[in-house]
Amino acid sequence: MPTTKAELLQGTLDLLILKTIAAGPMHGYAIAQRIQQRSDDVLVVEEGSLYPCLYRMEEKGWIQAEWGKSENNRRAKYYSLTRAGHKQLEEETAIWERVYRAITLVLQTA
Amino acid sequence: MKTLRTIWLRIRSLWQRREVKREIDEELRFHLEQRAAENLAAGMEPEAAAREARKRFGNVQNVREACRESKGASFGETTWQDVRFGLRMLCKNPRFTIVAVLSLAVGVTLNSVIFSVVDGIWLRPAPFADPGGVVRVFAAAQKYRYGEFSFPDYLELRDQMRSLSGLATVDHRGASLMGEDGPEDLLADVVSRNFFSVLGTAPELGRFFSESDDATLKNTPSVVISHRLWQRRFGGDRNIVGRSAQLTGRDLVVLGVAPPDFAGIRRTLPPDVWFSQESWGHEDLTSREWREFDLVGRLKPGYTAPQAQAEAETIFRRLDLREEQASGSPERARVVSEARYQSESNAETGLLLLGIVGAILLLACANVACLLLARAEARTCEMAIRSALGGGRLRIVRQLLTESLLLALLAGGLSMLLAGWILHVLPAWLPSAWDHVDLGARLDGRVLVFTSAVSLLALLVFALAPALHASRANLLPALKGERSSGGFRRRRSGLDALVVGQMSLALAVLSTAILLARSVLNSYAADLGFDKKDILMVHGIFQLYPRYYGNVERQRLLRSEIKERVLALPGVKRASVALEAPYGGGGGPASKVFLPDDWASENSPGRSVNFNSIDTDYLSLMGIRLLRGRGFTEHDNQSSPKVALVSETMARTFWANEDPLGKYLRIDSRTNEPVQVVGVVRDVKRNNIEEIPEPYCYLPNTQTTRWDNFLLVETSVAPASLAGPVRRELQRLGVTVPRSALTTMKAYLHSYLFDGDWRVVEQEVLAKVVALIGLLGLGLAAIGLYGVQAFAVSRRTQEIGIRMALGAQRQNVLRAVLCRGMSLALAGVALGLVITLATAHLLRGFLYSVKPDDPLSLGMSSALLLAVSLLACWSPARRASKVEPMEALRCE
Repeated sequence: MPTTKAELLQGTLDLLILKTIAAGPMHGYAIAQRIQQRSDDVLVVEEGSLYPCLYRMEEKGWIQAEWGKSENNRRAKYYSLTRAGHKQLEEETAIWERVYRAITLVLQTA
Repeated sequence: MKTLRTIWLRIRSLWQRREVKREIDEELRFHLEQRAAENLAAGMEPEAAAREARKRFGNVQNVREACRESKGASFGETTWQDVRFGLRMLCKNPRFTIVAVLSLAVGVTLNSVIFSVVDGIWLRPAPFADPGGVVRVFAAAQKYRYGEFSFPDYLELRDQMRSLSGLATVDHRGASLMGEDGPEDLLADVVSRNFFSVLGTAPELGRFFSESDDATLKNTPSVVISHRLWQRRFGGDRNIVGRSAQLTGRDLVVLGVAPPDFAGIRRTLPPDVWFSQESWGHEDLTSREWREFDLVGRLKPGYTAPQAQAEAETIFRRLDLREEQASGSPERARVVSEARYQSESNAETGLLLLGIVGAILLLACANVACLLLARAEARTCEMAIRSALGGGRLRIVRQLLTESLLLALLAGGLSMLLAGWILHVLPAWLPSAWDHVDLGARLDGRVLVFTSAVSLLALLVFALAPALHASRANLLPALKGERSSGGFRRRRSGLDALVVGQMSLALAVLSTAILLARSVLNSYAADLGFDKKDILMVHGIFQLYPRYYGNVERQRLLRSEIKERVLALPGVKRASVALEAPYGGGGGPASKVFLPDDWASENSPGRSVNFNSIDTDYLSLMGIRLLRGRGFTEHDNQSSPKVALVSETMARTFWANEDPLGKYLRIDSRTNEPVQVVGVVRDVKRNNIEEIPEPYCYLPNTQTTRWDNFLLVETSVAPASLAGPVRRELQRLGVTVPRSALTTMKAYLHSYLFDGDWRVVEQEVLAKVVALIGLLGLGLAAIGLYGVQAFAVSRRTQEIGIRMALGAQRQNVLRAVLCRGMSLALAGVALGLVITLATAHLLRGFLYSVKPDDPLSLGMSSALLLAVSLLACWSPARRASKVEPMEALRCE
């Protein structure tokens, strides 16, 4: 299914953010850092699209935000998963794995 | 939980926009600082660190906007944006706004007003307890469906009908209330004691008549007054119960006050006062011939109207009640629910009016749709830019719909005001003969709901299409400033179709108006059998003087005195007294007539014939033509042989081919003195224009014992000027006549109170209303045509310029544009004629001596529409012909 780059990234970005936050509450900067770290610097999140994505997900009710103090004592907005967010994470992970398996199959056939 | 949270977020974003903005800023700032700190830690200079952070982040403004969009794109905020923008657009184009709002307002106001009237007359349920159980009982025959009963008949029905829990009588009369400034004429209903309990209503004050009041009411005659009368004449005095009022020369005690809006059984003619039968003192309640009483009853639970009707039918047959006058066929019983009775009487008119104003509303909507489409063309550029900026089709449609909603709201609000005002002044606009009529049209909750619904419906009709059309705008040509010819042509044909539709509706309404107008004119010109010259008529002179009831000698003396005195007045040419006047004078019951063939047989029932008791001047005064034989003279008196005059129908019915002159008949019983026929006169219409004449007989009043009802005065001056003098003369003779009893023939023919042919008056009012609506529709359609033509010309200025530069003459351009416009009008007329002819048969019940597909009427409306269309097309055509080729080619 040919989709534009932006759409594909957006869908996966949701998944990446959800997974990252599942470990514990984080602010936006930390989320971006973590994703980059964990993917061995392959996935560099476009900062311009991170925050709109976070806000969208908050609207949808998958994550919730709270203001708190950062490591260096600055005010920052921390995001955490809601129960709906957990469910969404499971669903999207399952979909991703299915897609991944399917594409692998196709590539394997000579 | 999720929805609650979303709602909370939405509400929060609506009210805390600034707060949210600040939060977003703070969060993004934090991110930038973190990035800058990291850069710093990696060894960059502070300034470079900050710059790199910003560069890496991207356009902060866009991100801010995007966040705001995701978060604050709540329904409330965008809608508020739409509303603000819409208001700005409406203010920038005042002409468009005014025309659109006014067009819509006309359509919606008309619908509100008409609905309010129809609601009052017919739709609104009556204020009785459980109105579905109330029924009317009638006697019906071939020629009539709402026959009344005599009192003995009523008693039989009341006692024997098991399907009704109660049956009451109503007799419609009048009364005169004495006040400081003279007598005021009121409508009065004389009812049986159980009337109010049958209808099931509770008094506002005091109490109503009840069954046990028999003796009380005889000793202290009492009345119930209406709420309106209570407010108007007694100032809403809460101590009114027990006080006495002077009605028609007697003192009566006020027993109670009816609740507001309670009108008894005649919705549009609410009585001001209810008498009980004992209080009124009816002359004769034992006569089977005196059929004055309307019956209203209530079904027992579990019974239906058809069941009650079947039961009444059997009672009719058992009692062998009656046969239809002159045709001998038996009368049937009719029991219909009150709602069905109202609908029988009023549904047709109501539906006709609603249909017409519905058509006008469609017209108005088409008008506004045209305007919107034309404007959409002009806004294609704006739409294209919005689309390019990511507005999304839905967003654009929402924006346009919001603008249309604003239009609808403005129009709806204006309509409520207009409708309220119209309903307020409506009573003043009705004919004076309708003084007592209460259309019950009010701007109440039902009407407001209807108006809102109609406005919304109109909105859907006119707004959706242009909105969808506009949002589909093809981006590229619009942005380049071109006018894509393909889309343009499509839009043109849409506009054309709308205009043709408008024209056709306007034609249909105009045709209806012209047909109704012709019908009314025909009614007024109809031959009623007598001369309609203007005379003074005094009604009910003897009814008000019960002193002479039964004393024939005193009656005759009084009669001749009255005539003498009146003839002595200056300006009086002739005077006459009679039992009945034509056209609804309602003299008395029919009598039985026995022909020689019937004299011998004992059981012969005789034939029912209506008759009039007249003096020697009556026929000449009324202009009723004598066909054969002679009229009555002074020689026909008590001692001379009894004579009679017969109508031509009576002659034909009873004596077929023979000459009735000289033949004998007996009246009222087989053994009375024979009466000889000495003349044949023309038929006169007794009750309404369309009736089929029945046998009618005249007797000299010197030879009957009936009292007179009418005093007729032919004057050489305006009859109204002699009303006062005649009243005074009567007063001097001891006969008190209320002002309402004096009228002129002209007013009488139009009067509702005297039970004249009110249908003609109703038709006249209806015709005027429809004519007004038709003109409004014509105006709207003309504006629509003008607008579309003007728009077309303005859009094709370039093309016209080219044509002219290539040699086209101004005349040709003028003609071309005119032709285009008129072809639309012609198409509209053609379609309109199809619609009119298809729905013509629906009008048949309203028309008198005009066919619904009358070519003359249709021709007139077509010609009118085409003429107005020509006017509407003229200005744009002239403007087209005045185009300067050079300028047109130069400007874009």
